[in-house]
Amino acid sequence: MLTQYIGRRLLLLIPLVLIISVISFVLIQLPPGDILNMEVLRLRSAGTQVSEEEVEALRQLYGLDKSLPEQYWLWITNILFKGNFGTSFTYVKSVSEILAARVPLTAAVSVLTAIFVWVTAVPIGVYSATHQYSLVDYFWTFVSFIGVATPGFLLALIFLWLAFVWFDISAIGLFSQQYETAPWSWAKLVNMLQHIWVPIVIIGMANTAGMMRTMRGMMLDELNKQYVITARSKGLTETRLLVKYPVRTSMNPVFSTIGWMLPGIISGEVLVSMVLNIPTTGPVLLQALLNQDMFLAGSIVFILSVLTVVGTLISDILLVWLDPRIRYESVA
Amino acid sequence: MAHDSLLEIKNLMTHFHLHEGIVRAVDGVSFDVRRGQTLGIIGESGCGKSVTVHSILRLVPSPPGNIVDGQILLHQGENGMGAGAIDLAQLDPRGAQIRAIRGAEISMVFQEPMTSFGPMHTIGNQIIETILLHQEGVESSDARALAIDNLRRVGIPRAEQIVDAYPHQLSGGMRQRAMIAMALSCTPRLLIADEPTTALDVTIQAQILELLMALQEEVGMAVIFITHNLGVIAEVADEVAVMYLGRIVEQASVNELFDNPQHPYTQGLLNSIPHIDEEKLPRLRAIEGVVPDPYEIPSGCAFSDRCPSFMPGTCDRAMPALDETVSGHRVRCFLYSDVEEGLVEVENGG
Repeated sequence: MLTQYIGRRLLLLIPLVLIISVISFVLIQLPPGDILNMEVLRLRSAGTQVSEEEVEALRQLYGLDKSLPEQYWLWITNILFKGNFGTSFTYVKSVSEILAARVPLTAAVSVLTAIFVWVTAVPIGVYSATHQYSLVDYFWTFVSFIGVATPGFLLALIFLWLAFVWFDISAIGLFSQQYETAPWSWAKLVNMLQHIWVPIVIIGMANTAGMMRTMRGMMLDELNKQYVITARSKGLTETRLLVKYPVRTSMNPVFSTIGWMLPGIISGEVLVSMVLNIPTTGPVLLQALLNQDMFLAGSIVFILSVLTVVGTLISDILLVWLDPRIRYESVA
Repeated sequence: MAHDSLLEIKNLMTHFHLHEGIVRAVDGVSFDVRRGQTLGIIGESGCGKSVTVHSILRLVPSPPGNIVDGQILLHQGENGMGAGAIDLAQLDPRGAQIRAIRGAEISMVFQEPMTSFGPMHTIGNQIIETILLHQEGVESSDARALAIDNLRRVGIPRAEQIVDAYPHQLSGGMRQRAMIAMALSCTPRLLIADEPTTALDVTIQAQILELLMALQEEVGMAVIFITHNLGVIAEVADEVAVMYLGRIVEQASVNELFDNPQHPYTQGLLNSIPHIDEEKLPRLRAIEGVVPDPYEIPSGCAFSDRCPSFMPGTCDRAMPALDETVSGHRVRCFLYSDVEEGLVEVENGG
């Protein structure tokens, strides 16, 4: 039954991804002008003579003379059948090549951020709920309001400044200098892990704060339910009954937000990564959009959207798998 | 009488310390539960009957609730006199001692069968959990067989399949049966049933009551049965305590109470039952007024502001004591005895 459900959801994924690809493509075509106008303007202002014929030749080379539906068709068939995301105008490299270095890092930052958020927010939320109106609860309530209200990039700037003033270190980047251009090795991985916690904490801050409040609210609802008192009346220890019953029930929003945590992390990550100079997709996306580097920007938007859809699918499957009420009511 | 009593509650006071003030939810309740017998506690919503039984298992949330005075003596062994007793009121509500009693010596069935089981685990899982917790040396495969036996005993058909069902897949009546199966899985000496049939259809209600009585006979346990339904209490109880605003106002054997109700409140409760066999259907005879606000309890007798036999100068002056009028029949009312509450305490103290 569960496999059937997963199969149906996977089939539904196909039209969804196609629609997303159209929207990504249209979105990046929306601003007036294209990369060639920008390029020609740049060359001319630098004093280089560019003839109309040369511009036309470039236009043909990149397929920009074709109609939009044709361009879309070329783009999507190249992605689907050749795994070719096109060429970036600004980097003069294939998009796949640029992203190959950055998407894994983005994924690493995102996944680790998600784990950081859960590992901190869930226990704190549970503690706050079981010790409602205690000093600790008030403390975390205060922290979470600050966390939700402070933009990540500001937090990043403050952190950089404090790290510099207090410890005289530059917390910028994901690697120490000697590893930045080195090929991947064990030492480089360790080096990355030593640096990565800074962006993770900063990017995760808002999500952690929000999740903490959600968890606390859910727990407060569940704690007064009859089944918690039943469990207590059976003689279970407080910790065991909390973990088995109300915490388990309260985890639903945690699982159901896996899908949309990803775009949240990524949009927060763009600015933080700019500030901290982290080589993820965020800064590249921003630059690509500014330059109207359509294949690069389109591909990033497309890949991130697909990841979001997949994330949502994963969280839906998790929910159905973990919550018998959902399993039997909506799947059967 | 002490030799056959299983649970003795003496002057129990459970108060809630809230921002608005202190709510004396249970204010000096004393009663005995004898082995194998059923004590019915009856009263309107908010009279403190649930808080009383939650106090026994130390389930009253603290803060804000606290047992401020009194004893809850659970007698050990077959002969209560010799084996000594544990005062549950003195135990740490989170400690190992009370946890060993919960679910094993004293277990509880609750009002809402819809929410009494955790929604994420199967019925079997939750029954097996209780068995493994309290019965040493039972393997989990044996515990499963025991859980199925228990489900079968409460009349659940296809028990070996229902054991793997989730609570939301069962009807209210089935869930309440499963709840009883769980409560009885460790053969407790005392079962506390907190309005176990209130949320059920009348036909299901009758089935559950019959089941409870049959099981009580089989297991030989004592039962505290809480309800606000007089018909139910007449059917199940041996002894009945009527509660009003945190105090017992009348206590007697079930026949004595229904034949010879003495307290005006008990009389009012009994009068308010509609009788279908009366020739001309009269208006429903409700008790005048409403239960007072817990912060504005009248001085003197708590029932004085609603009482049809109110005696000015007497009832509003002092709280009457719960005094024996006929053998085994105790009433808290100045119509029958002029002993005041405080004086009894002095007598007890001296």
